[in-house]
Parts: sequence; structure tokens; C-alpha cells
Amino acid sequence: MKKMKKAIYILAVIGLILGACDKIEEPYLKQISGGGDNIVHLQIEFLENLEGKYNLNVFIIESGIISPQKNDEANIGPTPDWMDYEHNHLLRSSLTGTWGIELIENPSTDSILSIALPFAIEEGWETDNISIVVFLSNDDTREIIQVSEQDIFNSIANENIRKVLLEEFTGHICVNCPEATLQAHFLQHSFEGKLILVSIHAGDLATPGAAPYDANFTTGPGNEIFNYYEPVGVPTGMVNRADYQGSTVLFKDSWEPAIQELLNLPQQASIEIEIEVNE
Amino acid sequence: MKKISMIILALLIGMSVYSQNEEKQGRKLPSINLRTAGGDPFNTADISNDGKPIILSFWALWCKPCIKELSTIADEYIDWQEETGVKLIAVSIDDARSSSNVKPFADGNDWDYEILLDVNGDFKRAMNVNMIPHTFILDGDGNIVWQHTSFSEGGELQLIENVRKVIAGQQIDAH
Amino acid sequence: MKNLLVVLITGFMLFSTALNAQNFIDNGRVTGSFQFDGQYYIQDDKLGITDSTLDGKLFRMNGFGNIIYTNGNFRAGFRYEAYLPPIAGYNAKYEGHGIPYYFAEYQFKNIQITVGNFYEQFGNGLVLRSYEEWTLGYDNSIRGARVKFQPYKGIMLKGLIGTQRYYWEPYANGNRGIVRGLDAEFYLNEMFSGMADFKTKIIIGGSFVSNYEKVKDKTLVRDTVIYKYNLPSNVAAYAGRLRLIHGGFQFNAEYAYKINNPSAMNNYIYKNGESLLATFSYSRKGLGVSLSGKRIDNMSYKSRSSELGEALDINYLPPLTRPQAYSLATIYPYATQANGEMGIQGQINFTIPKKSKLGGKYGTKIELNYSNIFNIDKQAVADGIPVDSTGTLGYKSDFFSIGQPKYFETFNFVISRKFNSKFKMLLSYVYQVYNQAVLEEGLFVSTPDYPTIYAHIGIADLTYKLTPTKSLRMEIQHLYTDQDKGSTKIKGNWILGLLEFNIAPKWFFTVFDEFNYGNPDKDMQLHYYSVAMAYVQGTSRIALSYGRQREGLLCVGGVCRIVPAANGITLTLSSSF
Repeated sequence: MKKMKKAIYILAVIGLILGACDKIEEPYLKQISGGGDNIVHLQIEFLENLEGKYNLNVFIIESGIISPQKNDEANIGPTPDWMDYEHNHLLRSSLTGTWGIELIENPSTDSILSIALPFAIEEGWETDNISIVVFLSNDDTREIIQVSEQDIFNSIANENIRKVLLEEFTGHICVNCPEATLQAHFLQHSFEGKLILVSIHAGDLATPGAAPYDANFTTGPGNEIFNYYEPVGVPTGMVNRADYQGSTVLFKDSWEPAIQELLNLPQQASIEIEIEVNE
Repeated sequence: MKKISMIILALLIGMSVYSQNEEKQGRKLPSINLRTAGGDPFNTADISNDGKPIILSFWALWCKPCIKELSTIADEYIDWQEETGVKLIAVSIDDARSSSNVKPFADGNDWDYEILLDVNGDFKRAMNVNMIPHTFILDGDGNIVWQHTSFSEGGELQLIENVRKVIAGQQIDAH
Repeated sequence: MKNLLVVLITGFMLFSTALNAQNFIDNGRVTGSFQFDGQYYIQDDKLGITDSTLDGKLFRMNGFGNIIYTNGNFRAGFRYEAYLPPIAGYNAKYEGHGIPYYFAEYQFKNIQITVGNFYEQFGNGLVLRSYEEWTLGYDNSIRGARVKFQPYKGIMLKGLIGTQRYYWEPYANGNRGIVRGLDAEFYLNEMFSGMADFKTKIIIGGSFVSNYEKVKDKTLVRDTVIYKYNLPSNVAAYAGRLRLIHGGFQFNAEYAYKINNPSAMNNYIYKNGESLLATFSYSRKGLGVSLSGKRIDNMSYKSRSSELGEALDINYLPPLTRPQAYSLATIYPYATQANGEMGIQGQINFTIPKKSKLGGKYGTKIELNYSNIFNIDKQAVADGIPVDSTGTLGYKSDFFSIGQPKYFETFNFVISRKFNSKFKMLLSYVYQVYNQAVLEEGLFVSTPDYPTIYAHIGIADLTYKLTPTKSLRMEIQHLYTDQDKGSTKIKGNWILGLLEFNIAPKWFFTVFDEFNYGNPDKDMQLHYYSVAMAYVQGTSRIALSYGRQREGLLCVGGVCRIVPAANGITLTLSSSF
């Protein structure tokens, strides 16, 4: 009997360890976007037959935000506090959750999809400086196959060609970040409309601190993307979330060759964006 | 790709030839926990028949030739037992779908065999049974001395002939 | 690289077997088995098999080799599999070859430890069963570790952890769940000396299983609003069971419960699942009776919540219908409906005694079997929310109420008799009611294209012994139905004739023809003929056949898939040693 008691005891302990079980309470569905008066109209066309599931991602980004930034590179701006720094391409929110919504499985060349997504402009955003970045990612590898950008007044001339996305991890307390951001802007200029930028504030160096660094540019999806890819630090970036020489998260010197390599691939899809503003 | 798989299959055939010579060395049953059709837990290492030979037959309710084999033997079983003392153990590989029908089926068919339930194929795998019916003969010491797959009318004659040879201490030629 | 590894391992095993043969014979032993199934396909315009559907893959093969090494309390083994490419009807994801199964096992007194792949079943499998069926192309073995422990007589404890096989896809980065399980079984009569002499034997058991899956975002667009599902990472299921034995009576019941498990299988609803399986049987010499009942409510349990195919099942839900052995009785098979079903089955087997008027010289065997299966009762959780709506609780269900529609009903009658030392006969009648809309299309309303099918099947199986080892066997089967004029290829009435000549124990020759003479489409009134022969030497079997194969449903663990029609030559080699 002693042995039996012992056995039951051991069993109970193991049971507790394994007892992992998540009881989900209502609501089972959480609203992540929608309900706004503005609408993003999308037309997506696949130019190749592809295998796997593809997700649609829609980011809202904002440019022209003047807010202090730490800096220790005197060649490019005031050090150590660059008070009137201009933050551009800042990720503000995602209309499609962190990793996008399921769009299509095994798309073929005759797959043409039209989608309308409502969105709201939140308080504190400058409407004139808002633009929408839309990209298609593989559900499994999360690699991006095509990206497109449109500002809210449809003023960007959008050429239907293969484009790549540079997602830059940055922070306003990061002293090396302005230099990397400058590099990104330089690349965007030199690749002439084929490179789209999104700047993601995440990690310790993006955490709001004491004034004047009390601004909070972090977002839920931004943090989740940062935590998923676990960059060694900032400034770093990802080009199409694709692997380049063994890593997905790249330092700024690798951005250019990675972009070049990815731009050499054929265009797999086209994305047309139209924005209807009713607010 | 294809070539490599062919090579491996060829090697396996080679191994099977090589190991046929080993059969005489005596190979015991593995120890696997099963259940008897009567519901008792049972370990296959405990299979014995007081020094007399045993026939071990893998079958299932969905297997026509298996039922044919066991029905055919059932008609002769009393004579076999009287003559040789042999015991037949029928191992059903029916899973939870039909395992609870195995005992009523066997009893309803008037079979006198000991029946084991191998509901998840553990014993089947340990004995390398690919296809059923698959029948083994064990000598009085529990060594596997002969095995055979498939059944057709008259197959039971070879089976009892081999049991007789086991009792007489003769070699069984065919594997 | 992988190919090299395979050759190296096999080579090494052979090498060591040859070199240390003496050592191996003294201390250990190698056993194994292998099988090779090859098919060569031929164009057949009537079956719709053309150059383009064959796609140049004229020859296809499935093969495996299984090696087990045993040395005292130590056992190790592996299985090599090759599908180059897989034969028609097997999942295309099997294409390739490698070693999907390897293990090492050690028994130390009352503890057994297995590392690598293993197969396991808790109770009836309602919360956990891993198994393989080569002929069905099913394998959900768990790779990880398992411990079995017998701390005291009559007690068996099992614990396991691992991930399940998914074709050739390696486990990485949370692409499927990690399955953890515990099971305990207590045989009371052995545990307590005071109970040893009880006429009633009692065995109780319990299982706990939990699946951890890295949650991926899953979103839903409804009325232009995007929602995210709140998905659980850990889904647990547990079960309790009882077995009572008293003389010829046996009672066996198992109840299983599963916590919210929104998945592609149940349209992402959040209801808990439950299942009850109970069997009562009585038998004595010459008579066997069994009666079983079952209720399944939202019990699909897979280690990847987005999986819809016949893979990654953690549990097993047995269908409560008679397994059929005769070809025409398998045209309308039943598969468990994991999202909900209620059914009963009864079976009687008896022998009319020898030498009685009815029984004849050898006795006459009779089997009666009946089963009837319905949907469970499903009520909306709230007004305006349809049953089974995604992202809701799904439905409410009264445990004891039967729902609509009927899924399946079958009655089987089998009589077999040996008339004299030369002649045996088996006659059988099978009645089947088959809800084609639900079972083939998942539609809960019958349509003209998918009606409920009522089929009557008659079977005669005659064996005549020419000499003690030469025999002739003949099968005649007929299927009659009025309803099946739907959109599937198999339609209307069938007749089957089979003739087999056997020379025991080595030779088998068969010719047979299945004729779909009742097909309303005259062009599709086809003969599915075939000729086959097999040679058996010990445990080695070579079989060669040529002919047409009818399109059919193959059911595995509650999921059915269509095996396409084919025409060609099939070669099967099988051996074990």
C-alpha cells in the first residue's frame, strides 16, 4: 500500500506539470480592426502559380513626426539630443493583425482578388502624413513576396513592378539609429521606387523614458514582430523577412546587397491600392 | 532515388535469407503486454503449453482467409490435441472498433482456442507480421521453429505435419 | 545526404551482422520484414486514365523494410520507407524515402523506457492512439520518449511525450503540437489480496493527454470587420474507463472529455468535446452476444489545429459498424463523424450444434449484426446564431437526445456451413442505408445529387476441395440499389463473380470481375476484371495481378479518401524473418 500511495503521489505531481490546459472564456473573437469610415480598396493579382497559403498584411504608417531622438553621429545631426528629429515611415497600426489575414491557398495566375478594408484615423495621427503599406506574405515562412504603398491622397505614382520591403527596427533612445535610418532613406532613393520602408519602434531602446524621451512609438504588432525575430539589437532590419546569407535580421551594411538580390527575382503578384477617405 | 531503394530492398532480402539459417537456434517470443479475450491482462512471454508445441495464429474479424483457417482447424482441433497436445493461440489484431466482438464471435463459432487481443498491433509489430493470416509454430521450449503466411484449404495439413515433426524432434525444412 | 545515411545504416547493420555473427547469435538477434508494392499503370479511356492524368508516372511503388534487433532486455529497430512515387490513392505527400521510424527500448525490472518512435493506445483510444496501417497509408507514430512503470502488481502506469509523424515533414519551429500523455490502469483483483478470489473482476483506468501547439494568428473577416480568434495553446483531454468481468459477461465503458479545441475540423468552435463508448457482451460456447453504444460530440483531436487531412490524429474514434470483408459490401463504408454522432450496434453469433437436424454433421454458424447511427442533437447557443458558427460556442447538445439526419444503418446476416469433407458454403445478406450527402460531402441536407442510398447485397462464397490440398473457391455477389444515380462515378447495381484455384500451401490463382451493369450511363457500365496469382514460401509471398481497380472509398480513423480507378499490373513482395 505504501508503494501505491507513492505511485499515486508521483502521478499527481506529473499530472500537475502536464496539466497545461487553456480554458478560453468569451469573447472568443477579438476585433482587431474595422469600424472606421475610411476604406482601403485592394486589387490583388497573382502572376505566377504558387504553392502554400498567402496572407494579406495592411500597415498604417505615418511620416513627418517631429520628436526627440538620441544621436551620437555628429556628421548627420545634433548630438547627443536631436530635438527636432523627423521620424518617417513609422508603423502606427496593422489592419490585419501581426501576421496578416489568410488570403488564398495555392494561388494561380487567374487568382484576382478584390478586398475592401475599413479603417479609422486615430487621435494624434496627422491625416496628411498617413500612408498605407500592403504586402503579401507566405503563411508558413512569413516571407514577403510583394509589397506596395499608397499615401492617403493617392499621390504616389505607383508602378506595377516587383518591390521589396525594408522593415527597420529602431528606437528613439538608440544613439546609432539615425545613421541607419539615413542609410535606409539613401537606399530608398537609389532604388527608385522599388524599396518601401517601415520603421518599427520596439525593444528596450524604444521604451518611453523620462522627458523629453517620453513619446511612445511602439505598437502591439511591432512588438510581436520584434519578439518573433529576436534581433540582437537595434538598429537592424529585415528585407522581405527573407533569409540573406543565413539570417533574416540584417545589419545596415547587408541591406543593400539583400535588396539587390531580392529585386532580381521575378514579380509574383501585383497589388493595387486605392484609399477612400470619408472622415 | 529508385536505385537506392532497390539496393536496400535487395539487402533486406539478403538478410532474410541469412537469418533463415538462424531459426534453428531458437528464438523466443518477445514480452508484450496484451489482454486475453476474457479481459485479463496477459504478457506474451508467459505463453506456454507444459512442454508441448504451440500454434500462434494472427487473425482479425475482417480477414476472410483467417476465419477460414481457424474454422477449418476448429473441426480437427480435438483430434489434433489428443494426438499431439498442441495448443492454438489465436491473436486477434482487431482494434477498438471490433475487439469487443472477438470473444462473442469466437465463442459463437464454437472455437476452443485461447484468444489474445492485440488491439494496437504491438505484438504484431514485434513479431514482424505484415499480412494475416500469419501462423507460427513454437516448440515445447517456446522457440519459434516455423512460420507461414496466407491460408487455403489443405494448408492445415502442412501445419499439423510440422507440429508432428516438432514433437518427433525433426527438422522442418521449409521456413 | 539522407540517402547516404540510409545506405550507411543498412550497410552497417549488415556488416556487423556478418562480422559479429557469433556474438549476435549468442547475445542478440535481428528480425525483420519487408514489403514492396509496385504498380504499372496503363491508359484506360473508359476510366478516364489518359497520358495526361498519368503524367508520365507509369510506375509507382510503396515499400518498407523493418529491422528489429533484440538483445536481452534491449530492443532497437528502424523502418525504412520508400514511395517512388506513391501508388495511386496514397497521399502525394508521401513521395520520397527515408527512415520515419526508429526506436530503442530498454526494460529494467518493472520499468520500460522507449526513446524514438513508438505506438501507444490509452484505453480504447478515445483520447490517445498512435498506430500504423500500411495498406491504408496511415501512420501517426509519436517520436519522443515513453516510460511504462509497474510499481505494484496490478498497476500499470504510462507516460509519454513527443510529436507525431506528418509524412516526411520534420518537426521544427512549432509546425505541429507536442503531445504529452499519462495513463494509469488498476486491476483491483490483483492489487488487493482480499479481492483475488472475487468472481467479479474489476479493472479501472484513467488517462490525461495535453497537446501544446504554438498558436499562430488566425483572423476572420465578417461584415468588413476583422477579428482575431483567441486560440488556446494547450488543449487537454482526459478519460476514465471501467471494465467488469463476471464469468461470460463483460462490461466495458469509457468516457472522454476534451476542453475547448477550436480547429479546422470543427469550424473553430469553442465547445468542449465528449465521448462515451460502452460495450456489454455475454458469451458461452456456441453463443456470443454483444451490444454497444456510443456518443461522440466534437471529439476530433489533432496535434495541428489547422489540419484537415487524415493525419496528426491524437485520438481514435472507432466506427461502430461491422468491418466488411466482401468487396461489394465495401462500396458504401461508414466512417466515424468526429463532430457528432450517436449509434448502437448489436451482434449475435451462434452455432446450431453438430449432428442436429439443422446443424448438419459439422454444425452451422450464424451471425446477425445490426447498427444504426445518427447525428447528435444540436441546438443554437443563442437566437440568431446558426449552429456551428465559427468563433462561437458552436451549439448546445442534450446528451441523451438523438439528432437528425440518420447517417448510416446496416443489417448483416451470415450463415456458414460445412456440408461434407469437400464442400463448404457461406451465404450473407447485407442491408445498408448510407447518407451520401453527409458521408461524402459533409452536407446535412440530402440533394438529388447526393441522396440517401438503400443498398441490398447478397453474397455467396463456396469452397470445394478437389484433393486434400487443391481447392476451388467461388464468390458471387450482387448489389442492388435504386438511389445511387448521383454525381459519383459508382452508380446503380453491381454483380461480382470470382473464381479461385488454390494449391495449399503455396499457390493461389484468381480471376474475378466486378460489373457495374446498373449504371444509368450506358458508357459507364464497365467490367472491372482482374487476374491474379500468388506464390507463398514460408513467410514470403509474391503476388502478381493484372486488371482494373474500381474507384472506392478508403476510410482511416474517421476520414475517408477516394482511391482512384486504375488499370494496370500490380506486384507485391512481402517477407518476414
